[in-house]
Order: sequence, then structure tokens, then C-alpha cells
Amino acid sequence: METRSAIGRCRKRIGTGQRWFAGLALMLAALTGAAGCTAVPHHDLTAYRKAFTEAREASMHIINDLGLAWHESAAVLLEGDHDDDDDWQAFDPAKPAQPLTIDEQVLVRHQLWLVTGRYNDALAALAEGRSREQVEGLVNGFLASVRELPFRKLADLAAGAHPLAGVISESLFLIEREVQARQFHRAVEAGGPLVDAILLAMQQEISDHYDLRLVLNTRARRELEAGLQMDLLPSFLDIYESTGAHEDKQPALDAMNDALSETFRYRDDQLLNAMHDDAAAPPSPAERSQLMMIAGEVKSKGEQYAAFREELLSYQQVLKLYYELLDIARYRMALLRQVAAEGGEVPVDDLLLAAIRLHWQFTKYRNARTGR
Amino acid sequence: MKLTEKLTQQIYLDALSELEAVLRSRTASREQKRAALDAMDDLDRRFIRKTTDSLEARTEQFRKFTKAMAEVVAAIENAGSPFAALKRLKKLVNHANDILHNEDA
Repeated sequence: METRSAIGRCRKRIGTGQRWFAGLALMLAALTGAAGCTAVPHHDLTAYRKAFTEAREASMHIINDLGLAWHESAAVLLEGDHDDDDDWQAFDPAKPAQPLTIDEQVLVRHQLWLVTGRYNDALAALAEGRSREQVEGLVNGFLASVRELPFRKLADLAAGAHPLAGVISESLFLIEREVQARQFHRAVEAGGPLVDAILLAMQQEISDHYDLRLVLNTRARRELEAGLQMDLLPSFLDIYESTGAHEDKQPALDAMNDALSETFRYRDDQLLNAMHDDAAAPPSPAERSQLMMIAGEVKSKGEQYAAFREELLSYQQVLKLYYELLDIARYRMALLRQVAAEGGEVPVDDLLLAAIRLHWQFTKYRNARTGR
Repeated sequence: MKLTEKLTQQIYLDALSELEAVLRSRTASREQKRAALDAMDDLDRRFIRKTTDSLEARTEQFRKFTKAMAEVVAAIENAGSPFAALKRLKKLVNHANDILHNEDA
């Protein structure tokens, strides 16, 4: 009965297009012993914590994929001709002498998620009204995760216009003040903007994630097109034009133009023209066969080209969902801080749904990559 | 107009589109097509460099954040926290620092 009323409340709040996902989330919530679909009572944030864990795990995929793209991009830079420009890039005194490796930079992002998760645990414990000892344990867990960050790599950066700088100094002041006043509850609350700033920065760098995949994807498609323009099409035209444009060659020409327009998306003015020559000799069976074979190869390459295109579109969807998930996570944590201070309820269904959607879309994207 | 991330990406795509038109042209010579491919390759590398620079700068921001968080931890410790776990944590961190110093030496 209680479950039914919970479902009813849930349906009222979300659109019909989301019901399938809502149903799935409800099943998950029921299986994990969560209290309901839209809100949890002040004293039990189990469902919220599970939703946050799901969100964090889904985000791991995105960061790992960024690491892979980063490595692939670095390989592209290494392939290029080495010129003097590479040796004389703009000097930046604020940059550390020994920059982080790609893996270390990716690890920083993973660790920041860990910090965010631990902070969230401490915050949830406060919101649940847990005992001082329990809160202490979780606050220490949060601090320990901060300690695990790569301090050894820290460099004294010159004061600059970093977007995080203002947030950091303000939060730091508040946290120190509350700690000195023994107000650990408020200290955790004051740390919120720091974590929020991190999630926001992660959101802002999503365009860079996309740009790396965009270039790599474009290059993969171009390699196919270069083969087409520099090898396949010239071969086709050599045979086609060698004995004149007889109308018996039309089926091969049609097959070629179909492959170009349907898969490579060539415009009409980029297709091959049919200029029949009445005086031309009909093609031999071998010529006809060769022409059809090349057209078939172009079609095959074109299908790969189209698959790369689909893969990029799929990645766009992944990043849109990741952006949305970070938005919801930020909003939910802000709400949780409010609940920790004033009591109330924390809706969890949207965070869980965002995590499920991201998981699902990433699986589709990964399958598109491995399937090609 | 400010050179935003989005605008930079659009400029890259527009430039590629123009070069792709040369590559697909029925009238362009083999040499012209080869030059277009080389130019696209060069554009790719510049765009990748711009993007990885941006990601590295973001890492710097994150590192600045981690430094601030280290100060937060230190502030909590300096406030004489009664939490026993914090004291144990400090001991662990000191031990880790010793190891790191020895490694650097």
C-alpha cells in the first residue's frame, strides 16, 4: 500500500516519458530497501547515499574515457613533425617544473570524486542526525580522502584569476572559524561551496572531453576519406574513363554515387557525373567486375565512416547526461546542507535516474566503439 | 567577440569543412588534395594542443583546491580537535611525509 502511494506520488512529479526509468528506479529502490521514490524521511538517507554512489560510479566511466582520449591525443601530437614552435611555447612561470603525467591528471579527477563522496557521507550523517561518534568517523573519512590527494605534486601557484580561488579562500575562512568554535556541524556545512566548486569545474571541462573525442573521431573518418580520394576514386575513374563512358558502366557509377551520398554524405555536386559517350566501347566483364568491386569497397568504407559518426553522436548524448547528473548532484548536495541545518526531505529519484541513464548511454557508446 | 570554447570549436570545424571541400572537389588536383589533408592534420594538432592545455590548466585549479583542502585539514588539526582519529591521521600523514622526503632525497 505504501509502495503504491509512493509510486503515485512519483508519477505526479515526473513526466510520462520518464515513467519507464522511474519504474526501474522504484524496483531498484525496493530491492535495496529504500524508503520510497520521491523523498526520504529525515532519519534515513540510505536511498540518497545509494543514488550518490551510483552517480559517482557512472562518472568514473566518463573520467576513464577522458584518460583514454587524452592518451590517444598525445600519440597524435607525437606523430606530428617536430618543429621549432614546439620548443618555444609560451613560458608560464606559474606552471610546475615537472608537470603531471596524463595518468596523474586523470587520477586527480578520480580522487576529487572520492573527496566529494566522502564529504557527502559526512553531510548525510549530519542530515540524518547521527551520533557524534558516527559523524566523527565520517568526517575523518572525508579528511582522510583529502589527505590521499597528491599533495606531493602540489606547486606554489602564482596568484591568478582562477575561478576556484575566491570560493576556496571564502570557504577556508568559514571552515577555520567554525572549527575553532568547535562547530563541526557548521564546518562541514561551510565546506560545501568547495565541493560545489569542484563539481562545477568538472562540468565546465566537459567541452574539453568532447573536443578530444571530436578530433580523434574526425581523424578516423578522414583516414577513410583520404583512402577514398587518393586511392579508390582515382582507380575507379581510371577504369571508368579508360574505354569511354559507355552506358553499361552506369550500374557501377550508380553504386559508387549511392555509397558516396548515403554513407559519406557527399552533396550532389560532389558526386561523379555520368556523361555517356555513344562512341565508347562497352566495358569488358573484367572491367565491369572491377568497377563494381571498387564501388563495393567504397560502400564498406562508407559504412565505417557512418559508424564513426554515430559513435560521436552517441558520445554527445553521454556528455549531456553527465552534465545533467553533475547539475543534479550539486543541487542535491545543496539541499542536503539545508536539511542538515533545518531538517526536511531529500528527493532522490532524479539523481538515481540520471545515474541509470548515464550508465545505459555509456554502455551503448562503448558498444558502438568496440563493435566497429 | 570573445574567443570562447564553443567559438574555438566552431572555427576548427568551419576550417575543416573548407578543407574537406577541397578534398572532395572534382576539379582539385592530387597535390591540392594532399595539401588539404596536411593542413587538416596540422589543424588537428593545434586543436588537440589547445584542448590538452585547457585540461592541464583545469588540473592546476584542482590542485589549488587540494592545497586549500590540505590547509582546511591543518586548521582542524591546529584547533586541537578532541577527535582521536584525527590524531591518528596526523601520525599517518607524518609517516607518509617521511617516506616521501626519503624518496626525494
